[in-house]
Amino acid sequence: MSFKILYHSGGDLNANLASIAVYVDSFAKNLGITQLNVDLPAFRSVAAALTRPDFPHKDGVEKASPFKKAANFFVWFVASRPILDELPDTIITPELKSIQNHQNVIFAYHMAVDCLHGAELQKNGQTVSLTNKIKVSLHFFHDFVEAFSTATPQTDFKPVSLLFEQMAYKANPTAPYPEVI
Amino acid sequence: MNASAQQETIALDVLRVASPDVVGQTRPLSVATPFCSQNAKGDLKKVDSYGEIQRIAAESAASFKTQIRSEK
Repeated sequence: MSFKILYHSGGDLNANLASIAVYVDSFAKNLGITQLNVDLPAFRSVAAALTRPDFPHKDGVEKASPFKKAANFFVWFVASRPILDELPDTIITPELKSIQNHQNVIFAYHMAVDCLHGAELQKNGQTVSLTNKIKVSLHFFHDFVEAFSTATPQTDFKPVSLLFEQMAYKANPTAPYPEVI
Repeated sequence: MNASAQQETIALDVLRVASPDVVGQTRPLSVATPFCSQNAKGDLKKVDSYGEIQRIAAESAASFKTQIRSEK
């Protein structure tokens, strides 16, 4: 997928909103969910966050790394809590079910990771593509959901950005700069 | 592709918007909602992109479901 579907050029809030809604709808349907209650104003908050002029990167959203774009989307989605219904225990494990707000972390994680898959970044003047999708173990995923279930943009944007960066580099070993420190 | 066909492409059939005023009352989130109907106005490129989003989301959900089931 591409960040173009989340960060539409010109800050098209409605286009961002539609992309998020279509993804959530399709993801839910393919989990086997037939109805999912959502908070529409919360969806709008997430879409609006993607067009904010104060995107947390010195050169703005256009030049931000894919990791920062992914993290910005993720923390706003989790904090805004647009999905009201918990996922049923016929789908997820009791351990995930016990985590408050697990549903928003699970949806946001998958959409962020799908956007990172195939994303491009600049390295020494050349374009590098993250061709391999991030994969994690079930144990890691559980800990990730637990760690960021109460994420906020103010406190978790940078840690999540760094984590996405390292997860993407683990899946794409030729992408990072030389690790020297 | 006419306008109605484009809107059909992005119809949402799972999401339900919960009413804050009436507990338990919901309504379908569909192309009738402002953001989707505005977005579907004759823009073939954007409408086409929804098919890709749907496909990728479906693949991720299927993979997640399979892996989680293996743990249960």
